[in-house]
Amino acid sequence: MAARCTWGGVVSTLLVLLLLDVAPAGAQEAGASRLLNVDPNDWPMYHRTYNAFRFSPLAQINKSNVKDLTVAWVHQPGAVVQGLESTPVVVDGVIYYIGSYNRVFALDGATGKELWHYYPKLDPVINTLFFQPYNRGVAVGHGKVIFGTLDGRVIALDMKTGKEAWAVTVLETKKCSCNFTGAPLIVKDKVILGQTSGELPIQGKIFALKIANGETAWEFNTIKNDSKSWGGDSGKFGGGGGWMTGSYDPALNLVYWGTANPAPDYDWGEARPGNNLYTSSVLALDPDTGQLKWHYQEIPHDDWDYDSGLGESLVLDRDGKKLLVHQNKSGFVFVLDRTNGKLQNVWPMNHVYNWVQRIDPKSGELIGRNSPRLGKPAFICPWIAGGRSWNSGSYNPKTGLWYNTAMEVCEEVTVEKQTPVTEPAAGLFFGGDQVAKHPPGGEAYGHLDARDPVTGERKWSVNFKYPPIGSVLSTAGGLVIHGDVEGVVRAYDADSGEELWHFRTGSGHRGGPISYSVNGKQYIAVPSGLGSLVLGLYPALWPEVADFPPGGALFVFSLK
Amino acid sequence: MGNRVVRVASLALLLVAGVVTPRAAAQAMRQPPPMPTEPPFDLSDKAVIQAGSHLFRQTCTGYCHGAEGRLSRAPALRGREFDTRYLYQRIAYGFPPMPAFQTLLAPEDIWKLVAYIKSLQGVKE
Repeated sequence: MAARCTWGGVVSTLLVLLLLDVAPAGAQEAGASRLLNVDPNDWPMYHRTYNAFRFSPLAQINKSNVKDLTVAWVHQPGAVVQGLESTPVVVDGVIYYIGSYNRVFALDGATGKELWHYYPKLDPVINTLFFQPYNRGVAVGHGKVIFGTLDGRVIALDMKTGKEAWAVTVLETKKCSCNFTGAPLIVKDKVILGQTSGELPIQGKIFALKIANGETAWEFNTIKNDSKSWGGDSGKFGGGGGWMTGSYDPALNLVYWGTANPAPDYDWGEARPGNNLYTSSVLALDPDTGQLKWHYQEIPHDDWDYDSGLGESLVLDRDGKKLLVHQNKSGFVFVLDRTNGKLQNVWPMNHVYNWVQRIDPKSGELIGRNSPRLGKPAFICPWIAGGRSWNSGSYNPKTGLWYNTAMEVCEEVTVEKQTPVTEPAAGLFFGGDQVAKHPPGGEAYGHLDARDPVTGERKWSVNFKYPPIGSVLSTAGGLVIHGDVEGVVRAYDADSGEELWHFRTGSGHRGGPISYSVNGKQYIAVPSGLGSLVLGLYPALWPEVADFPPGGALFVFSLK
Repeated sequence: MGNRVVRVASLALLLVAGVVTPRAAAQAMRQPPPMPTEPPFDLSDKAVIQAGSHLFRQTCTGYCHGAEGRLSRAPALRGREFDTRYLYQRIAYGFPPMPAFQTLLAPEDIWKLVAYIKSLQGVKE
């Protein structure tokens, strides 16, 4: 029987598609399959691929011609408070990015011409928050651009028009003082994101929302309901959360998510008895149900604000083993079997540390803990900003090297007993304060290293006076792209670390550079704009940093 | 009283209409306290200054202001003369990215912070 095409049939089909919320295939559409099999020309999610490599397979721009790189266009988000911290995403030649105050833009990737913008009306409560007004990225998929907001909502925009598809309130921001600042991760029909809460007397959670309508599919409380893990009522104020973006292994159907530190950040002795699960841990969650499959707590009873919520979890296979490489804020890198969470190795990115004597690479035991307590101020390395901040490294599967940054800075911590404040709204719950210090016998500094991600073996390093806080990009063209605090973005030879090109963007770098291609032409996009809570710690050592200009601009480079 | 009845009735209507969720409604009902015109205690009182110092360490230092009012990305507070009312307003209402504390701290606590910052006026460095 031959099928007959009728208007009624077409309308019925469209209605069915609408009801099922199935986006039609076509340009600017990124469904689940496009996130699994990423087009080499695209950068469709925060870390580009589910394995969090932040590696572009594009090689048109390479070692031999990068010297000819020049500005193709610049876009300015117009709001520069706390700079530009995000990593853009690109699908089918359109670049999507988010700036401070949750301003979202869709631009022609070749010309920078604005296709649409979306400026949300944010609740004034955001002006009372510690974590604001920055955002680290959007997720794109199923025809939508999705992001968490400063006032605790999740918003989905139509990818083509920028019109609001749905907006849901997930967090009671006026009560919890918590919000969303990290980029969500789309897995199948859900979008997953975690909240801020590590410095707040609340219970931080990770959420999965249905992309079709924003309905919450599941939520995972990072504060385990366990009196052995949280003595007394300390778990009520336990902090945690999962503020940055996780990874995904489709074969195992597991999402890997790092969790933040317990609150209070510092423990005066009896603030939170127990190991404080699941804070400062890596979680393996079933993305369909939110069920915990395994966990690995990197820092049992974290005494230093060395959370696991930051940065990437590399999904890496080597010698027949399915590995997960995750950096903790302490500067130690934990290598896990990602099928079961068993520890395979631990190695330090930092040269200077005294918070532990060492970590047993077989058992993970923290040996010789140096925990600040009430009384005498404690000298601790690395500082509260971490051996590395939340910025990500980049793994190049061709060189087998992970390009990653480190901060060699110490601090003096003064612990002070504090009563958690939850009414009328949650107040900061640090349990002490700290001031940055130079390491013993030398000046504080930072470095960009090329390392084997499993063994930690170092191939090359580049040092910086001011510890870098921008993410790293590596490409199949044999390049490593990275911007510093002073506002210079550089291209390095991935094999040797030799500087091949640089450009002064005028403001420092905190976001994530990416690469993409439109109509056969490769581009490198670099968010520039100095801002960050972490920068508030710098002037104690480098007063001139207080005068480094803030900014916000997306620089896009191509060959002449 | 009449206005309150109208507000509650309006809220109930919005809830029935599904415009405002109960969670959002609870949030909308919180109001910041009115700004006091005068400090409730002597700002040069040592106990008040000490309490302000304690609050400053717990609320303002580290990522924001430098220890004991030293330079950070925020300006140094040591050795500077500030108008009392200006300080109160700045703490209460904030200035991005500095948060507004009017709904987080009681007016008395804001005055304690004012007392502490004013005590740094004569500090060299």
